[in-house]
Amino acid sequence: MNYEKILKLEPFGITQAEKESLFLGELTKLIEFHRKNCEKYNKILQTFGYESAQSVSDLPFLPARIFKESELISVPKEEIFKTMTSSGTTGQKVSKIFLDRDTAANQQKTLTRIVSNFTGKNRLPMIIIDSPSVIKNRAMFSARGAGILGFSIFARKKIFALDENMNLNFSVLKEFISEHKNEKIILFGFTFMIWQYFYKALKSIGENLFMKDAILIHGGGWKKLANEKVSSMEFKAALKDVCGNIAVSDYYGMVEQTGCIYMECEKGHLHASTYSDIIIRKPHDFSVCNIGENGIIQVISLLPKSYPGNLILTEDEGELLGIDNCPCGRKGKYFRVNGRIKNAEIRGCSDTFNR
Amino acid sequence: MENIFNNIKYLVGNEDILKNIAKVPPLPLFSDLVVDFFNSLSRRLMSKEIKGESDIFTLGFWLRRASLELAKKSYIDAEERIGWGMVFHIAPSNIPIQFAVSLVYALISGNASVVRVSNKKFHQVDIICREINECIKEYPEIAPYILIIRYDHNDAITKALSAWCDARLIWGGDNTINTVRLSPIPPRSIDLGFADRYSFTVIDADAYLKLNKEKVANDFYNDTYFSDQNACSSPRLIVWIGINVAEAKKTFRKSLKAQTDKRYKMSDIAASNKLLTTALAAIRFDDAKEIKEDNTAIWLEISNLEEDIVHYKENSGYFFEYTAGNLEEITVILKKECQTITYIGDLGEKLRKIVISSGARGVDRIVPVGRGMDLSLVWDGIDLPLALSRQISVV
Repeated sequence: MNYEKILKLEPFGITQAEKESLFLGELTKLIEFHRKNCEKYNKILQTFGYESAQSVSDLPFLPARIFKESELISVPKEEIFKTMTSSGTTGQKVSKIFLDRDTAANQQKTLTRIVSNFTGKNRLPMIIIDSPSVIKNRAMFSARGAGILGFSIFARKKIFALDENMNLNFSVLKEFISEHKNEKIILFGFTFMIWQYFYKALKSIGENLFMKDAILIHGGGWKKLANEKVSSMEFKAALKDVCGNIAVSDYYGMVEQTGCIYMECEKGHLHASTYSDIIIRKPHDFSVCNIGENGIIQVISLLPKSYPGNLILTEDEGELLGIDNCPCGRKGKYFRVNGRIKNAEIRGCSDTFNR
Repeated sequence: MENIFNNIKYLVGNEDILKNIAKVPPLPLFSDLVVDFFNSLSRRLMSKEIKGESDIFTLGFWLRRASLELAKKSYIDAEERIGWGMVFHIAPSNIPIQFAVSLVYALISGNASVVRVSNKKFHQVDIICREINECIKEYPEIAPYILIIRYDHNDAITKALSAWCDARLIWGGDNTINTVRLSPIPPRSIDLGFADRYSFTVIDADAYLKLNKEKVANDFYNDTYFSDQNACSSPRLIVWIGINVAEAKKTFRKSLKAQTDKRYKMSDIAASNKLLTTALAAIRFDDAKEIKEDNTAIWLEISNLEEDIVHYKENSGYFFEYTAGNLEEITVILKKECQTITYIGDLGEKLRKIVISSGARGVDRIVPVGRGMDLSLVWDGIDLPLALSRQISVV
């Protein structure tokens, strides 16, 4: 089955059992494709001693950080038309993901299939809670910019809620909301930016947007908010407090598998779609965790073709909550992310004085 | 000038001592005061109250009067030497007791010391400082010579202490050393950098098979897992020689696993780090082969020994393995980074000959497996009591 056909499947409509057999077949083919076309990937699998596997959980996976340390490409270089990078802070190495036209197009299509399951088929007015400057510099195509451009496809009309200096554009915001007061509105942004520059700004001027029907979709991780001791529950309550009647949906995703995001349902659970999956693994031996057991999150996607990123071990920890039986009705696995793997207590590198 | 020191936390000593530290008179090598003081500290560190802290015990054992007096004998001109004055130490964050070792070097040589310990909290640091404070009560004359402090990254403090010191010892990675060296020291002062190093093991498979496997595994564990394989002297590579290599490898892995199953708790992040190292090593080294039962020990067999292997330093139980046809093959990796070769079999002198005859820039220590973490007054090829004192010649 080619990826076009897979995309036609309902995004949350197939059971785990159906998915396992589909994925084993497709991933086995993808692995062989990458082995043939990416010599580095082939060498890695040789070192692992991989030949074949009987189940998806036995297929070989790469550590997410390999994309920071090495350039992995499975198509001729001249076919790469876009390189995506993770949003690392200055001085840090960033992930580099190489996209050809097909893979880039499939990312957009996949995102559309998944998100429209939550927002409906029609394009809606959209408020992007970020600064327009993030997408102006196309040379620096960061994950943040890519997220905004990717989600823009759901917009019939869009505005940015923040100006170039990350200040809230309250009058523009107010006008846009009243202009679309009889429609559903999408708000989109990155969790920390929303908290820091949108929620706090509204709170400090004592304003409420009194929205009637809106969905706020946010992603990018909780690390910075965890530092401020803000939980997911508090985040939701706080945003409702300043926005009015809105649904708030977190998503989990990463630049290494752009498009294949894991959306939070009405019950507060992150869901794997038909096009992707997760496995929670024990650090001790990478064996598969039981439901409810904390472990390292592996992400799986049928999407990547121009780079060998179908099976990736993240540096996040999480737990599987259930399979095929979320009360929201979506099939497949649903889970929770518990944060980054703790890297504190290894006695560590001797660099004590370095900033 | 005064207020920059407000940010200092004193583990041993106080601000008054700090203000005078650059003026205290240096002492002779192995002075009675220092030896008496360490002997008393030694008894405390080896006491029953401090149980199960094998690194603290090792330090205590090293500081016994008998051990120090034996060491003194190899300094025949000790009576002609005196310390430089004040030594400023930047201690590392990988080995908890290293700050104390550094202090020992300076005091034995007759110097007052300001030791900046890492902000990483180690209970060993608390215990040792507590015992030093107790000993100072017994020997108050030594109080002006010892300051152990903590401060957050603060260039002003580092600058001031550097400007005062007669010698500076910096333990850490290249970045640490380069950062600290941005603070100048007086023109005639001595600057010693102890950078991260690379160490490896050579095992004569046939000799190994005749030994007590459990003891060897315990020794190897102490050189590696005990400090998360993160000490400079922790081997990252095992070079096998001999006939029954395959059998020896199997036995070695099995008996080491028996140790780690009992004693080692690997951090979660180590699993992820090790996977990355395997992937990167696979890309770099042709025909590399990963062998593991679980993530506690990863064995990466390589089929060629190349010099950049010294840049592949994973920890928490990650071992490259190479089977050599002859011992001379190791010369390609005897680079400046190389510090310790640990060995099993009758290899000590043979290895030294290879190091010298090949004109290697690296390798300062060749010790049996199990003694990688031994304490010594000679470190990284430098005889510290000589380096940290001056000789007064009379004609």
